Amino acid sequence: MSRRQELSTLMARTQSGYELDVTKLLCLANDADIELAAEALVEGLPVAAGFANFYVIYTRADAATVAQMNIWKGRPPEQTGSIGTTTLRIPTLFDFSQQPKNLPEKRVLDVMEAFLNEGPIGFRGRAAADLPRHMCGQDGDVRTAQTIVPGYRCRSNKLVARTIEQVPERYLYITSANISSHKTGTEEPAHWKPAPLIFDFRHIVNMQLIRHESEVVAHETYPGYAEMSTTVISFHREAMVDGRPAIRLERYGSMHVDHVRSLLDRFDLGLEIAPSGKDRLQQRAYDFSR
Amino acid sequence: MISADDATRDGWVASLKEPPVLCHLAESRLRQLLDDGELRQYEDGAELIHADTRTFAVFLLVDGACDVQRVDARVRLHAPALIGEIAALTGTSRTATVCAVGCASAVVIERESFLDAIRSSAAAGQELTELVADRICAPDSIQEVGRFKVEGIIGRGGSGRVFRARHPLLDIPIALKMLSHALALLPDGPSTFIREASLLVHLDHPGIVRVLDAFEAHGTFFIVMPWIEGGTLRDNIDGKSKFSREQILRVADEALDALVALHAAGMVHRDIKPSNLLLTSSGKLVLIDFGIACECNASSEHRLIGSPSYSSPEQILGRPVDGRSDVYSLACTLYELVFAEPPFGGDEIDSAIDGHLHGTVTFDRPALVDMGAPFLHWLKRCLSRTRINRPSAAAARAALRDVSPLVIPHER
Repeated sequence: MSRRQELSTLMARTQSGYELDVTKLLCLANDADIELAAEALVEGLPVAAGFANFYVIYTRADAATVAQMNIWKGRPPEQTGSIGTTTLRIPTLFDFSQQPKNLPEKRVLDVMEAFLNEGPIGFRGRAAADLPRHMCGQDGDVRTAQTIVPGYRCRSNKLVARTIEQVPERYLYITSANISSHKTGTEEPAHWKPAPLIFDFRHIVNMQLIRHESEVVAHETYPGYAEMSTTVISFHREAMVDGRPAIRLERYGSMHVDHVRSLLDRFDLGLEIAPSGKDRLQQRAYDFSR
Repeated sequence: MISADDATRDGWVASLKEPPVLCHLAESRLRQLLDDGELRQYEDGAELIHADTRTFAVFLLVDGACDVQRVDARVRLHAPALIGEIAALTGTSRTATVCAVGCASAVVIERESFLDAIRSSAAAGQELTELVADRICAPDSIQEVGRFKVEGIIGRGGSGRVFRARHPLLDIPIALKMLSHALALLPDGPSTFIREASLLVHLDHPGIVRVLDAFEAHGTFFIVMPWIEGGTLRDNIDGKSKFSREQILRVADEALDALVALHAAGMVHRDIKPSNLLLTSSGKLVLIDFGIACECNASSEHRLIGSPSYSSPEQILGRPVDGRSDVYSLACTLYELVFAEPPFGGDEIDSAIDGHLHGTVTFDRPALVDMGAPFLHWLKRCLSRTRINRPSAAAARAALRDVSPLVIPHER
């Protein structure tokens, strides 16, 4: 047996000059890392994750955790949460029984399929009856749910799937990786690089991060998409545009509005722009190169 | 009070990055120290410190030189130098007279300001601990801690130092563990230490080292433990001892037995490894060094607390840990007994971390001893990357006795 030096006990990152780069620990390219990140979510820790071409933060969707995450972001604790789930479970989040007649369930699901094939997107619709209040918004007299999903091609789907397999709920809470404008007073675009994200959220003890294998590849996988929170479309209100039934643009994010329109054209649907969807979100700029 | 211009102070700050302890402090901290201190100038031969007096100030020699005159030796120090930090910490009388050689300047810093600066750097705390330990053991020095006569240092680790000492009345050897200043000076260091020491005092298990007493001294904390004759598993491994199958099973069973008791008390050791498992001269296993033990599921702001070759993935990732983390570390230790090296890493922190997080444990490699497939299957479960797939210590002990019925719990 050869004599070997036992690495000594470390007590802090700075000891022995060793600096642990927390952004390099877990990566979406590794199944083992996805298992570790899923375990963290199951155990109730927040996990920042690569998501299509930017970063989001997932947590469990119980009311206390969502409120805590809102506080960590600098938002009012009661702010409604968005839902992260697997693509297969998306339809279960919505109540299609009271859809506008010109937007029946089948048509909406076909539209969803087309958007998921393209890339990251958000869907808002009438909420399924069993969704808890803190995960539902209100649009006039309609109780709504909003899901944010990365599209079919993103490895983060596996993280969400492995987590949901191990928790009672069929969904997680999802939020963009940015400090709230409530806190800073200015629009805070979502992060698309891990290191600045970790810096902004350094006040969250135990937050985990699972990164994209490459931000460059993530960017190139979604040509035409800006690196920011997703565009959100809704389908719970009856609308007509140019004589055609219309989907509504609730938030103008990563998917360009022309791209949205062209996709809806395939289904002979128009696009109504909600007041909240008129101005596009900002993309975060960093002082260093890609 | 004498003041210095900005350029002079900048020069001092630059030079203060050299002396021990101070070299680990950020520039802003060094400036703060100078701001908090009082600059004094000394003529040739003037005393900075007089032997046998008790003061709690630390001296930063920033310009010139001085002689440190002990009974039997004289040492000349040149700026930059840190003087009197040990006596300031220990509260003992100065052991030497320090006189200026030519004109000298020193910044006199109060003990609390000095300790505030140390608090800002774990590495500075570690080095201070090393200096204090050396001073305690030096032949011409105090050689006493509390009421105990120190006979020598027997262990150095990240969480502190261990001394062999002697009880003044009973004349029996005892082990004295000095907590690292890096831990003791943390804002919640004292309360954490007291809470954990009091938990350990009440733990009465033959496989866990007894804590007899605890006290504060030298700017940190000491715990008093019985002296146990024997050597660690690390000593045995390094001494090329080869463990038989039965010995390995017994190590596993006794260590798990101790962990079951520890976890039942709501604590996690967090540093299970060969050098923290003591084999007594009668062959019994005793778990030692609770320097970084914590309460179960406690959050930690520090990632990578523990020993990289034996740390569980959740420990590396800075998550709250429970007893299953200790099971993982014990499994790494047992793996080393079987295969001559731990499952991942070796001598590099990065490769150890990478292995625990992403690697696959290999069992089809030459083994020092044939443990049989059931044991290796059990070991593989204990090495599960995710703790949800890992047994608790109690479940692991029960499973071990199932798969290796040769294990007979040791008569305690």
